[in-house]
Amino acid sequence: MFRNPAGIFPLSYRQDMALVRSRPQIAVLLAFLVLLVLGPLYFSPRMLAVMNTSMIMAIAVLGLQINLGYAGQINLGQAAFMGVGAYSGGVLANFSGLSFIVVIPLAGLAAAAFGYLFGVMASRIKGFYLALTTLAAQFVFHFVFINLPADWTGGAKGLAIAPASLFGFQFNTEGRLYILILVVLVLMTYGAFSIVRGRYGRELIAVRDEDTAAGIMGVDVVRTKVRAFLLGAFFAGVAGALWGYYLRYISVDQFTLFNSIWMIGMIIVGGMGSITGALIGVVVVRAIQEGITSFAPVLADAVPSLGSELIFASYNIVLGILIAGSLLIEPKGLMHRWNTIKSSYRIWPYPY
Amino acid sequence: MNRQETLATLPQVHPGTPVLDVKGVSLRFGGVSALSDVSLHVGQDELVAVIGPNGAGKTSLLNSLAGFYHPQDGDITLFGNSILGMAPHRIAKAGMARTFQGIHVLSTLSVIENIMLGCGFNAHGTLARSFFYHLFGSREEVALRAKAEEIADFLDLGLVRHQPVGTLGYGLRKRVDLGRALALDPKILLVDEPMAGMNGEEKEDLARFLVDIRELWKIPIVMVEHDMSVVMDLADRIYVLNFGQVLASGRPAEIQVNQDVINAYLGGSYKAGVAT
Ligand SMILES: Nc1ncnc2c1ncn2[C@@H]1O[C@H](COP(=O)(O)OP(=O)(O)OP(=O)(O)O)[C@@H](O)[C@H]1O
Ligand SMILES: [Mg+2]
Repeated sequence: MFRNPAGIFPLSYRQDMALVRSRPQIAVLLAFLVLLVLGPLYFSPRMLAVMNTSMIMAIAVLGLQINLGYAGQINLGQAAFMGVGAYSGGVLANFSGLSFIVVIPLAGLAAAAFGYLFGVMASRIKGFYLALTTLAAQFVFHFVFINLPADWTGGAKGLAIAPASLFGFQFNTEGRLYILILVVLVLMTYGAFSIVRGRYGRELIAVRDEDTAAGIMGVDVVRTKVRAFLLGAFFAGVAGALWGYYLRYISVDQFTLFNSIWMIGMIIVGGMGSITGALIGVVVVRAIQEGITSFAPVLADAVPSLGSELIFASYNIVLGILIAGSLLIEPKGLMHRWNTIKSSYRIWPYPY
Repeated sequence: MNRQETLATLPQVHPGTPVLDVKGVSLRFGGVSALSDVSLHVGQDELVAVIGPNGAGKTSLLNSLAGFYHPQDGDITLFGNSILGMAPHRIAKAGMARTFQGIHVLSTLSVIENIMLGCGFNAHGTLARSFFYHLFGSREEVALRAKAEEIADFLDLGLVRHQPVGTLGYGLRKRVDLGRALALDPKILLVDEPMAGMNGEEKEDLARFLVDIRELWKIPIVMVEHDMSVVMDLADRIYVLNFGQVLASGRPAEIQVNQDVINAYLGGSYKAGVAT
């Protein structure tokens, strides 16, 4: 249940609707951001690299959260949307020489255009069939980008991309890229919160929870589903373009169904229908992934009979266990558990 | 120009025209005939009750009005314009709001957010602008909130405004549903069994709200209801549906003594003239 922290009495609707509501909350948020910004000073190189890929992933997962967690539209093609963004951004940057400041949003829009097609389909089909259709996004993406002229997209060889630069400053080290990615992530997180807290967010939820009644509630169901995919793919496209600037080399194999499913796993772990939950899901799942990557070779050394295939195999197994476990133990995700704790703390000592 | 714009730009109809006119509507589901040749009209400021036994087609009628079911025959006009075939959200925006027989609220959202969902029906902010809440989104949100608060106040929902609707009892949820419908600025309100499952006190509250809505909003109401004492008290006119057909229509006093209606619906136990 929603309750204000003790001593907080909003005096206007604007105040009452603020997400960050008290001075301590502002302080904690700012401190957290400062800690993040200073990351390159104290993160190990490995940690920095993990953070960079995780933050890019987080942007795509935010989009998936809007698409799947808020609007309830199953999407097994988020990695493909990310790939479309990566290629559009890469090709655009290479051929036009435009700044990344323009390229990244345009790549988002390109992916959104691809997502639009699936949004239109989502307005006609649901559930299992929609899942199959979005699965096709994965294959369409793969097929199209491998068969486009090789001097555009590099074909099967992949595409090299020049580093992002701003007034001659090149984002060509992990540390510099970290700042760039962090800024984009903060912006996209802000955007995600902005959208879900407003009218469009409520309409997405109406379509998720009351698919048939939503129309009578005044919600344009078709448009809302299209918007869900537009938004989800836009976030993925932005993430993809960043990915291109980060790795400076992209190929279709970087955007697989497997990645899409990991992203769904992150949302299940973090909690459906929560922006913070999406971020928590990314952190938890990425931590587990990195744990496996560090631990598996040790295990392979100790027990050589397991062989070197272990890492990849255990990835699959852990993903399966993680999703099944989350669904069994806390189907509403970690964010929900946190909210439960928080609200019981606020009304302590009363039980409810 | 689409229908919705047509409705908006049309000059206001002269007072005699019914707000809602249903002309010979028939609705079939395969072999089942849910409505056959139903005609009814609702005038400005009227409270019209639709009664009838279970399965008579009352909900099917409301669903047809709301654009949720598509009658095979007949026509439905709102302020003289046909709304047949229009999508439900367009009909809602054109001014026909309804509440549901069952519970259809957004249970994870708070009371005020549920009402704000309705309020947002004609908001103008674009998706791109809503990406930047503090720059572009917040003003509209605050306006929607202010409007939602008025409705919440009216329905005595102020104290639970921030509670997720899923945590509320049945009666309050129905009231949230009513608030969400009112948020659409309706020009006519349809309510489907608003009293069902409520205790005496809740029924009294709701009856008072309906009376107040007529007074403050000055809109006609179509009410489907089984509780005869409520119907006889509140309704200006009554339509009795039976097996998808209009069995009788008239003022409460006429319906109470109509022998067909007593046989088909009110039953022997219902004593004419005594609203039990
Ligand atoms: N979607 C549907 N598909 C098939 N048949 C339907 C559908 N909706 C309603 N019917 C049928 O139409 C008839 C009228 O049902 P309706 O729900 O309109 O009755 P009602 O008067 O609202 O009854 P109640 O008082 O129980 O709410 C019933 O025979 C019902 O089975
Ligand atoms: Mg009914």
